[in-house]
Amino acid sequence: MIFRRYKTSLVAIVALILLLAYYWYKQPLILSPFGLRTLANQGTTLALAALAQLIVVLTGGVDLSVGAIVGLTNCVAATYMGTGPASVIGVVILTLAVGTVAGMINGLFVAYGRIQPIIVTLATLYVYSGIALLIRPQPGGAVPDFYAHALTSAWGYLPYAFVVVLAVALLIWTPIMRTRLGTAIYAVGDNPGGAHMSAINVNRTLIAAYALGGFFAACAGLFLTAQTTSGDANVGTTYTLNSVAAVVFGGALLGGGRGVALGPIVAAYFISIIISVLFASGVSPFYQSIFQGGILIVVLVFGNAWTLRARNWLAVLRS
Amino acid sequence: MHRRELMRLMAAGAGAAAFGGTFARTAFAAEEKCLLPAKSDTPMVSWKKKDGPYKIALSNSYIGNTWRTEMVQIAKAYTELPDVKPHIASFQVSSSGNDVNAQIAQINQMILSGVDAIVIDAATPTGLNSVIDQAVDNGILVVSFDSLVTTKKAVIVNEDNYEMGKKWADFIVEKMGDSGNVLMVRGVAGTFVDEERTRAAKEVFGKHKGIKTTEVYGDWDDGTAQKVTANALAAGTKFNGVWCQGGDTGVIRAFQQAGAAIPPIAGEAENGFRKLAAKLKFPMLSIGQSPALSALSIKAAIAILQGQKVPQSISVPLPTATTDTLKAGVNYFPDLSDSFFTPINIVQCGLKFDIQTILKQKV
Repeated sequence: MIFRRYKTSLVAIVALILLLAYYWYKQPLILSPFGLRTLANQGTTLALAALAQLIVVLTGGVDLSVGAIVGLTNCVAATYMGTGPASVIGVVILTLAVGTVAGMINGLFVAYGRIQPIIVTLATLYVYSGIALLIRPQPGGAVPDFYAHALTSAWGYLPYAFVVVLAVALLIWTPIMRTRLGTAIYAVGDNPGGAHMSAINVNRTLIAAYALGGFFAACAGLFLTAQTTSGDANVGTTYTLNSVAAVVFGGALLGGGRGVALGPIVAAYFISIIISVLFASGVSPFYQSIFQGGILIVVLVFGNAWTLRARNWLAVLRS
Repeated sequence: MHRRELMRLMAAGAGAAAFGGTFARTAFAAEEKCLLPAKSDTPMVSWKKKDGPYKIALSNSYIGNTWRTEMVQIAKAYTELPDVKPHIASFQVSSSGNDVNAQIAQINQMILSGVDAIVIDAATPTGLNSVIDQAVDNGILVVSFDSLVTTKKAVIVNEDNYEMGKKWADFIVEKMGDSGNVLMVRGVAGTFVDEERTRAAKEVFGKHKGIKTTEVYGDWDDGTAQKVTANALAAGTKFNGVWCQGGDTGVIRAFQQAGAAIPPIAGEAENGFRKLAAKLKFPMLSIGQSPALSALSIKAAIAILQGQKVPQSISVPLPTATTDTLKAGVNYFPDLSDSFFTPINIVQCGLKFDIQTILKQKV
């Protein structure tokens, strides 16, 4: 039962294990405390951004402003954080609020503006990046050491970054998905008309989903702030499309209604770690992006190889 | 071809074997005049002396313009020079694109693989600071060049952009006299480099009441610079001098298309600019960011690891050429593209490269 639920994540999990095995063969030190911490920190921002993308994808939309919200929240956090514990906590809450509001604005336009999500979020991508530039025209800002340590250090072999991802997934994501809202999000993504007929408030569900997306993107922004200890308005751009890639790679359907958190999180680590593996195996920088994309395609094709053996093509189309 | 290369290698090898000791010493003797502090109050840094050969890594961000490609090629060519090679156990290059997280990962990877020094062309001025601090805490020397980082733990190697802007402006005043119209083709708005260069130029031009300036933004790009220059010319002003931060080839083409006489131009160091100056013989001053900064950074890293004290921020002598000093195959290359960056040598630091060796390097 559990296995069936998480079957869609299998490709990403197997791929990550193979990748890590090869990486370990090339660079045995990744199993040291420092190596593990590096691995964990490397993928965590994208893993959180992938959750932000996933919740929107589950409703059948796509959020192109994920990267912009990551950049915006990064700028807010790094600019106003200050040095004392009280101001840090205050600014963390403020940052999460900024992300949530940004997401909610996306949701309002999608739900009540009846505009296609891809266009809404493309427009807000520019708006949010613009605001980020206003807050922080040049890269800079600072965060206190204890904040950076709390998120990116490690306790022996246990990197705090893993704890962060686990906490967000188990304490925030899973409980939400178990509520009526979670069920409604899947229902709206799978069949909006059916959801409406089943007395689900589609618009309210959409707004909640986008707002939660903004919240998770803000989590990613906060982690990135700890990692870079500074703010940069342009820092988020790569997370938009990589988060979409992680979500699809992790087994969610872009059409909506299907997907669990495990796959995209694992896929996010896979996508983030590839570049280090390529570097460790001495691939020329000019070929790195070719390999990065190529590996992704090959893995996805292998993941779908079972369709070749399917008895009935309808089984494939319905999967 | 193969045989010739083999013979050259053998000759170089024999030479290195014979002179190895002296070579190594003379190669680093010139640094006294080369690794100069950026300001008078720049602190000196020293490092725990290590015995060579050293493992060195170059962490580059964006790759995809001529300058960056040349920069990587020169770095590779430098590490293979017969007098440098004995100091180097391994040299790795990696380019992460303008993705901060990827570059952080890359530097972490370098820390893991136990390098002695990391040379960085950064994707962001501040985003790498924490990973650089980590590298330094792990006993790794970090040298930052071109696109710099702000942490004081890294040794900085760069050209003085204020000085560059000032020299360009001085040249225009010298050639034009103290009155006339100057076209200022600026770079990308809001960048540190553009601000510094322009601030210097305005201080120079501001001293002469007769000089009027017109400012346009050319984005350091031939196409954009050509367009904005054409617009400025169409407004009817006759320019007696051009102060240009980049895209100079485009600026000259705009003057040619408008049928205007080409005034004295002070600008960057693109090959196309120098090619046209050699052909048309207008007064030119060309100073540019040298792609050999990568080689100089490696050189500084080796010097520091060998126990030498250097300034924390090193100002690199500006590689300069004027119409009179242009020499085909040395400081401009008639056979190469217009976008090629000519200052591949920093002679004051003993960095001289053969153009063919550089072009042969795989990136």
